[in-house]
Amino acid sequence: MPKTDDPLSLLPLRPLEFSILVALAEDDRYGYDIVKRIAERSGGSVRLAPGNLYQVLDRMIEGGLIEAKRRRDRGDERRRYYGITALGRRAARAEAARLDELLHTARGLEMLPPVRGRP
Amino acid sequence: MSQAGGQGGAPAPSRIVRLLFSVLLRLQPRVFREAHGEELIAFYHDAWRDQVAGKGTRRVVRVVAELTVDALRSGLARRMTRRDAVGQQGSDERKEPFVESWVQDVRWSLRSLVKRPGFVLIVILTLALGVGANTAVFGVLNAVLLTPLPYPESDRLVRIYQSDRAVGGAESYLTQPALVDLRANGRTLDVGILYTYREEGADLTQGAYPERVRQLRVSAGYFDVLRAQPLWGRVFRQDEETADARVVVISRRIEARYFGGGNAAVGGTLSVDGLARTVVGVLPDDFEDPLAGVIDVWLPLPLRTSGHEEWEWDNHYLSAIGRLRPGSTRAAAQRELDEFTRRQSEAHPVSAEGRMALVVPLQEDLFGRSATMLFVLMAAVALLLLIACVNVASLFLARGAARNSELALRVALGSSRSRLIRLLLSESLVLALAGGAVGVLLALLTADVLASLAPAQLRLRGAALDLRILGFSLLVSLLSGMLFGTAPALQFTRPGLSNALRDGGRTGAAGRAEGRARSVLVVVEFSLALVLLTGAGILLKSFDRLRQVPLNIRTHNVMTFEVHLPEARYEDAGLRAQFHASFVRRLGEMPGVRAVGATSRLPVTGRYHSWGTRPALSMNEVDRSVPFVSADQRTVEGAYFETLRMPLLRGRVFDAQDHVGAPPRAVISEAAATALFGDGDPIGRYLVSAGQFRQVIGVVADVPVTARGDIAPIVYHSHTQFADNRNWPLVYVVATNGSTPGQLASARRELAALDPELVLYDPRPLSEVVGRGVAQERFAMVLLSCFAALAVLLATIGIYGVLAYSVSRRRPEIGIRMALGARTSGIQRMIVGQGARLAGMGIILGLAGAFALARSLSALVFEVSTTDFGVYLASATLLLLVALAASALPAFAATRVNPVETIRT
Repeated sequence: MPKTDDPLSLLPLRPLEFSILVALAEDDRYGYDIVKRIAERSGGSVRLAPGNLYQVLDRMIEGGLIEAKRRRDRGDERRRYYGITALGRRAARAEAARLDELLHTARGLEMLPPVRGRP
Repeated sequence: MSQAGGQGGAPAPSRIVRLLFSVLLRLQPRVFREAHGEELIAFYHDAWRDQVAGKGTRRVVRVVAELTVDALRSGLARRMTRRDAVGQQGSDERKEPFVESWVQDVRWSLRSLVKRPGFVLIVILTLALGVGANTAVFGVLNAVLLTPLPYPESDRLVRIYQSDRAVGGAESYLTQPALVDLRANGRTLDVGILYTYREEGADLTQGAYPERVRQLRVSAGYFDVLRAQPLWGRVFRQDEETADARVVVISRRIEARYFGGGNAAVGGTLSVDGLARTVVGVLPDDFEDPLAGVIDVWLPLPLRTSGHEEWEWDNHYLSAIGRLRPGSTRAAAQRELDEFTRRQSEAHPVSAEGRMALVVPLQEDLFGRSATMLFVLMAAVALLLLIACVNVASLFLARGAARNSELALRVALGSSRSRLIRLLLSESLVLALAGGAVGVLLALLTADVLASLAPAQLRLRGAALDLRILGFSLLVSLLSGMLFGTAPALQFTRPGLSNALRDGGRTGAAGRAEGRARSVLVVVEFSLALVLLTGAGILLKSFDRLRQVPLNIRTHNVMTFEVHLPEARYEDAGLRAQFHASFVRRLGEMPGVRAVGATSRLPVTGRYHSWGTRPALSMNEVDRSVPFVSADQRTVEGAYFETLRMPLLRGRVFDAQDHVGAPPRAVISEAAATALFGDGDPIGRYLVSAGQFRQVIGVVADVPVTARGDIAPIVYHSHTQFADNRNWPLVYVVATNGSTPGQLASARRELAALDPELVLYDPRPLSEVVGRGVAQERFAMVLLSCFAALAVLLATIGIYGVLAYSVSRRRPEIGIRMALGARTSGIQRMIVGQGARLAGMGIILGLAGAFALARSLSALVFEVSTTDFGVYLASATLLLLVALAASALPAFAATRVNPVETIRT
């Protein structure tokens, strides 16, 4: 992932990366915590394996979306925490907006049932 | 700050699990380990605590499998990606989400496999053989060695022996005063005493017909040692350990049969061997005695706590098991036993002579001797599985030619090498799991056969599929998949695949390389097959030697069964003698019966009733110049020696003159004659055993006491004269002409005519009784031979495949040769020579492995050297012949090549 300051040039984000950014937007997390959160949010349908996880995390660090944190964990000091960067937050917001736009269009084309009370 | 997964109460993973994590980490390349090693370990720990702790074995297996597969896949992919850094720029950057692509791979695999049902069938069958054999043997191993005994805290149960250094071996039985002393005063052990010297039966006569059941005499503390809880009632009290106590503990089975279920049994009466006993307790059906197996009635063992006579300190007839008390260790118990032995032998020198008490963990005592055999069998099936995997890998390589174009296309469209590898591996895993499933099915189906073949001491009960076995099969299947899938996967995704698009495949470099790879695999197969074949050959030879041990008796067409006269109705010795004499006469009059006899113990069933025997100077004076000889005592009735065709060497056997009023006489074996009287003629001389003086009237040939041919001195007594000494049940031997049907039923009728309440117990042919002694060796031999046969079959298929492929690849070359005048015999020699070379290389390579396996068999073999040249030569020759035979068809096909056709194309 090439390094850039413009979040829009990173779109569309891969679904997995987006999920990770959302998880980290709530809070700094370590590896297993990220996997668990994503599984919870997707209702168990997205299950990240460790082999894949760290590869994706490395790529996102390279792209400046997240960063590794210096944080001591009381439970297990081998855990490494990851946190979202400012760029990452902007990219996540941009992606969310893009997805929202897509959904809006889809609703307009009656691909999805309309949500009551929302334009 | 939120935290995923509580650390609070969840236990840390065990040492084995932590070791697993380290192993999984090691699968990743060094660069990755340096960057993420620590946190990956932390990940595994978190996943373990979150998903596994407190859940069942199924969950454990699943999580371990998932993590392992992921580590293998990602580690492999990382290494591949690193290696082909060049040319990766155009590769797939947009990696799909992990889960979706995996499912896609599996779907693709299934689609492509369905198109080739023949290939799939062969692969699954081959794998099923390998995995099935492994599962079956592991099932036995699991039941015998890995499953703890079915008693609470069974690891604290021990067996107590006495070993007699003077005789040079372990003599298992202990004396009553020694055990009673240990039970009362020992601090480290709770002791349970039981009588297993002879397998005891009891006649129950309350039902519609008399029934003989297994009986066991035990001390009061015996059930407590095993923590056996009665369903109803209680177990024996110490004050009931007398010969007069008329109590009995029964099994649920007996309770249901005679008391109709429910609590009614306790307090009721059961007639056991003609004596009315009060039922005090009922034990559940799943209780099994560790030494005696399935028992139906327990009686109290008569024990005195004091007032023992001196000779009782030398009367070995009891067995003992113990439970370590809380805080005691085996070492402490052993020390205490040594102390007891020292003290007892000081006070009672007759019990000394270098005896030393041993404590052995009960599970090891029961099954330790089988451990070697089981491990050898496990190694053998592992080799078989290896051969199966090699065969399948070869099949994959063969199929690869058709694949090349498809894979090359994928590369051209942007698939990375690691992605391709993942694809091919998923196909391998699908096949491996399918093969594994069929294999487990095969193992289940053959489990009963296996149990019937197995020696009785293993106590196998047939199919029992527990989670550990399933987990093992799963692991084995996955490993196989990885094993046979990796090599082809690496081979097919080599750079330069796009060239394969242009290449016809068969004649180019790709084809040659594939041929070479398959040849290597065949060589490996043959080397492994040699190892198994040699092992089987050695066991076969050893078993043959065992069977040739001269038993000196007739075993063919001899029926045996036991008749026991209950004390209650046959207290008078004269009555017993008369009964047996009558029964022998009646049996002899049955049509088709050649000769009838009876004995207190059959030959070749071990040492039994061994009493100290000495020569005597007359009928009342012992010859103290000759030391005691331990001689087995037997009583015989009827034409015992003639029935078994035991040669009479000197003097005569018992006849009508040896009646009750006559002087007591004995017939002795050759070994007894030599031990007691040296080279002199024993006829007319005297001997004494356990206070009984006898005159020797005859010498018969030795008959082994074990299937391995061990000889012991034997003294035979006439039952008529011996009946007032002991009431030993007699085992009848009936020699028949083998062609008259229904003789067993006739025998039962004759018995019922004499006394309808007696039971004709445990009828078996003598050949089967003798055969029991070699059950363990037979088991190992049969199984190993099956594995060797399968291995040879697989190797044959392998070499055939390689040669057939080679012939098809060399068609143009062969055509040219023939056009240039080569004779068909020359072409055939070329092909057959190729096959012989491959087999030869495999054989030479396999020799080292064959030596190693053979050495591990040394504990199981009889009179065969593990470096027996004949066996190695025979195995090598067999494999060579097999290779030549497999070459025949391809060689013939080679000569059918039409030179004109091949040159034209």
